[in-house]
Amino acid sequence: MANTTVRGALSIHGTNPQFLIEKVIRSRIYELPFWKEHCFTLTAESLIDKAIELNSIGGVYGNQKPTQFKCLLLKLLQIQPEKEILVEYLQAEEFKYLRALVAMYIRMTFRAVEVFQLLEPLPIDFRKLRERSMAGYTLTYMDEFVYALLTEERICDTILPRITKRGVLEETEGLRPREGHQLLGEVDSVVF
Amino acid sequence: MSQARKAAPRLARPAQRYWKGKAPKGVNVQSDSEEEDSQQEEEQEQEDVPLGGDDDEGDEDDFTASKIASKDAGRQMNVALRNVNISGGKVIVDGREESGRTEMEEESEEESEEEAVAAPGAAAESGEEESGSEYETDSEEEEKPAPAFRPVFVPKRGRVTVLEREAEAENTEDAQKKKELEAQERKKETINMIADSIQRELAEKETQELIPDVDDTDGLDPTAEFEAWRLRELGRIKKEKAEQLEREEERREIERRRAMPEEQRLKEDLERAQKSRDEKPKGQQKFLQKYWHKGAFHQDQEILKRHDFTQATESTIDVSLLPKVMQVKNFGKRSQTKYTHLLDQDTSVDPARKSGTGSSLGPGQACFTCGGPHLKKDCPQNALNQPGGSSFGTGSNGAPVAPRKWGINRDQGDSAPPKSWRDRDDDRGGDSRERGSRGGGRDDDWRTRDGDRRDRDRDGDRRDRDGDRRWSGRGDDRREDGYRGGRHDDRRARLDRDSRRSRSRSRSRSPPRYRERRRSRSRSPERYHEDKRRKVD
Repeated sequence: MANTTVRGALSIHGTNPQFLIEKVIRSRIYELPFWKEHCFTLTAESLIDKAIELNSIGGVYGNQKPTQFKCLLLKLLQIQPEKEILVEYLQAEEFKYLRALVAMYIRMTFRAVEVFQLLEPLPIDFRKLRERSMAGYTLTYMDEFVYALLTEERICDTILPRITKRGVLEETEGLRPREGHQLLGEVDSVVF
Repeated sequence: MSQARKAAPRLARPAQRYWKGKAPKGVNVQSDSEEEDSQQEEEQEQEDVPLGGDDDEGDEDDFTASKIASKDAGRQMNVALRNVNISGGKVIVDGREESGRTEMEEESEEESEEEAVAAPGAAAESGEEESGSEYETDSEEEEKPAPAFRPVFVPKRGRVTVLEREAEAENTEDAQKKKELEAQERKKETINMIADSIQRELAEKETQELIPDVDDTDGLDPTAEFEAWRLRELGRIKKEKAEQLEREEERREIERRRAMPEEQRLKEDLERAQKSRDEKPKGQQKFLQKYWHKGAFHQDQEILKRHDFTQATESTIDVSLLPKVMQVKNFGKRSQTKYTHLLDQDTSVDPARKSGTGSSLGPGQACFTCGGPHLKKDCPQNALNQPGGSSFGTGSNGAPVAPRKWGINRDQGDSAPPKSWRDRDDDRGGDSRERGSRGGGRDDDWRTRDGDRRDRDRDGDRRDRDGDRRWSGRGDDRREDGYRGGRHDDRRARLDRDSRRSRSRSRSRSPPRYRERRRSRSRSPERYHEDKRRKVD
């Protein structure tokens, strides 16, 4: 009973939103004590508290043990908060792990255009992130993480749903081409 | 080893089975029995199964089976139907109550009964049995009027005796001491447990903090971080631009190809295909080499450097040294076929027509008779075996035959052997007659002219047609003698002439050929017989 998606949730990409995380990992998350104790009664607000306490992102580590990051991600998928809430979360600069969490959630659930629109300004945030994986802890950066979300298929041991390529979107739906950040300064041709 | 074993003691008689409601074997059923007898029986009956194990009763010798066996013979159980009354919780049989004891026991108790009676208020623990037994004995002597207490079951909780005992036990000092000890132990255990749990929690916390050696605190060095970020961002932008350029290139290429005419496109495609084919490394394979792939797993890294998988293994043999039969891929296997390759199966090329070397031996072929490098037909051995050099055939094909009388060589040997009258007529009469018989209908004037010339050479006498006509008449007379019918003659004569003509100068088309065939059909039996007759032995 506890693991069903919230009532009235929309189906994402044609399936139960929880199914966006693979069955194997999902089962392992359900069996975690962290999930059972802490994530049971989370709502959108209380989830912030938990997310703040995060200290790493990642998929599975050790003996195929899912990270807390993943648990919270699944929880988000389960409760499916509204769009505005998520946008708010995304703009919370103070808590980077929360931001990372929400960024991943947006990538998985939103439509392609919105994904690009929302996640494009993120890479300016160049804070460090600790990634926990089978090989132990590694260091990564927020901008790398978000860029990977936009371009790669598999992040944190989860297959991301497909989104249309940026080029196609530019042609068809009028996405604006990628803007250079002002902080970059002038881009020299020598670099290329 | 071969010592005789002592016989095991066995029962002399087998065990008797008891059927319900049936008297056991050997029982003397008597309606009345004396008490003495019954007592005696009971005693002895109980000897077999001593319940109380009293020493009064019976000797231990009685336990031995043999004794029992011997005594049993004389003993009989006395099973009689008597009056049985059950009242007041007592079983009364024949006026006498049943006690669980033998007569002997009862008697012994009676003796001690007086002493027991003197102290009726015995301690509770002395048990109801004794009181019961005393009571029984009492009743025996004093008969019935004493009230009988019926034994009632008292549950454990309700038993006074048990409760009293427990209260007593609790009050003792020992018990109290034990309780104190236990309480203390429990306290200790709880303390330990709490301590353990606290320690575990602490340890967990510590581990959590210790493990991430990767530090994710920001702001340690803003400028450096910023620079790092900038580099990364630029790298990303560069990648994207490269991708975009690639896409542009591809689009331009597509446009170009679309604009090209067909032939040019095709040419370019072929060139490209050719180039890609040449780029692939083509390994050198030996004759009939088996393909052995080295395997992709469990290899060193050097295999990535374009290893040649078509390389021959170390155990490949030079197949061309083997005999022709063995020059196949799976020699000896049932799946082996004789098919080698397509050109080998090609029969349109006649190997005998090869110029230069007359022998067209493939690799590993040899003369069948001698094994030399020539064909069998050219074998020098042949000269020894068959006189007359190489004949035009081998075996039965090589037998000599007479020169043929029919066909193209037909008229060569005409003069020497005597002909039958049939032949003679066909040769001479037919031709001349034919010339005359048909005039305009036929279109072979030129033929007649040629035939004339030949007939002139042959016959000599006839020059004119008239002369021929005359001859023909004579021919008819002669023919009428023997031929089956005159009708055939004309045709046959005609055929002769035509055939001869056609053979020498064959400009004729179907009609003469047809006639020729008909002629040959009709004449062939004769010819055949002739040839046979003339065969040289």
